[in-house]
Amino acid sequence: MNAPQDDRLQPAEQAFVGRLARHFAPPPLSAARRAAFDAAVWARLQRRRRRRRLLPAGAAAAAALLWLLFSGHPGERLPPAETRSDAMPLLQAVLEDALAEEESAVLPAEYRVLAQVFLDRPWTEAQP
Amino acid sequence: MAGRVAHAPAARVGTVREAERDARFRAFVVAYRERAWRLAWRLVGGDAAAAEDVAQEAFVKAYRALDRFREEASLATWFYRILVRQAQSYWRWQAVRAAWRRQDQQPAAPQGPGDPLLRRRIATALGRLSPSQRTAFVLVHLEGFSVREAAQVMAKPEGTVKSHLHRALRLLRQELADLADDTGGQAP
Repeated sequence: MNAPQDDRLQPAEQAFVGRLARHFAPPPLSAARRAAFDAAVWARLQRRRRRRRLLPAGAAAAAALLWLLFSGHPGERLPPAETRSDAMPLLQAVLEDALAEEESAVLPAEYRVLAQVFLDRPWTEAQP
Repeated sequence: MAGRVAHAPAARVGTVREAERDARFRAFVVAYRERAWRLAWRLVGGDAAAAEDVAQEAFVKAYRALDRFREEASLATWFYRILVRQAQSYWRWQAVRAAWRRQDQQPAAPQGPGDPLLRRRIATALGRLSPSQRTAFVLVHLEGFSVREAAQVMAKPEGTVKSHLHRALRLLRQELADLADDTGGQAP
């Protein structure tokens, strides 16, 4: 796949393209650079994985914060329904972001508990 | 406790699956690393650091799609598509940086074998093409993809890719007229 394959080029055009390909080429990767490249790819992958692991914790922390803000102290009445409803889009966004990032069709148990508490959704067992 | 015990085999399966995935990914990187680096280098105009960044990011994104693509050919096409998008994103950022850069500051010359001035001229001429023209030209004429493969990578009809190729070649021959003659810019 390294030779130009457009056979409709005129000979002069082919020669021109060949010159460009010859003069505009990177140096080949040395063994050391190949190893460094692979290591860099794995390092990026590990960073991505760590971020993805931290995301559920971040979502849980955000939900807990919302809980503290909108549920009041123990024994107190909950804020009016309209105040609670202000928080719903934000919490929904947090949960949806976490869900999208996890690339999972099923909410983990802790999200389902939070969804039940905040979104007044009935508890459902995870689907097999 | 019973729940944890019940989940242990599933966790082991997950670990095994991840190990298999990692092994497949490692093989994919080894097989495509060289070409990805060369393609990225040409797409970003010969900036070695940017080429590494573009290629590595494309590999990381490919990792997440390993399970979706059982056939390596499909995965490769998808991978090159990601790489091309990464390169186009790089060009967009370059355009923003160029707007802020002082006139007397020149970007670093592309590094590689051969004549550095000629390399810079080619990089500049490629940089003046539209992103689609540049991508089509690099894929087909410099990297040897067929028009059909380039169309798949660019997610465009073959006719559109041919049109980009035609215009790119005409513009480059105008811009680099000395290379377009039979002597290739060399004195006889």
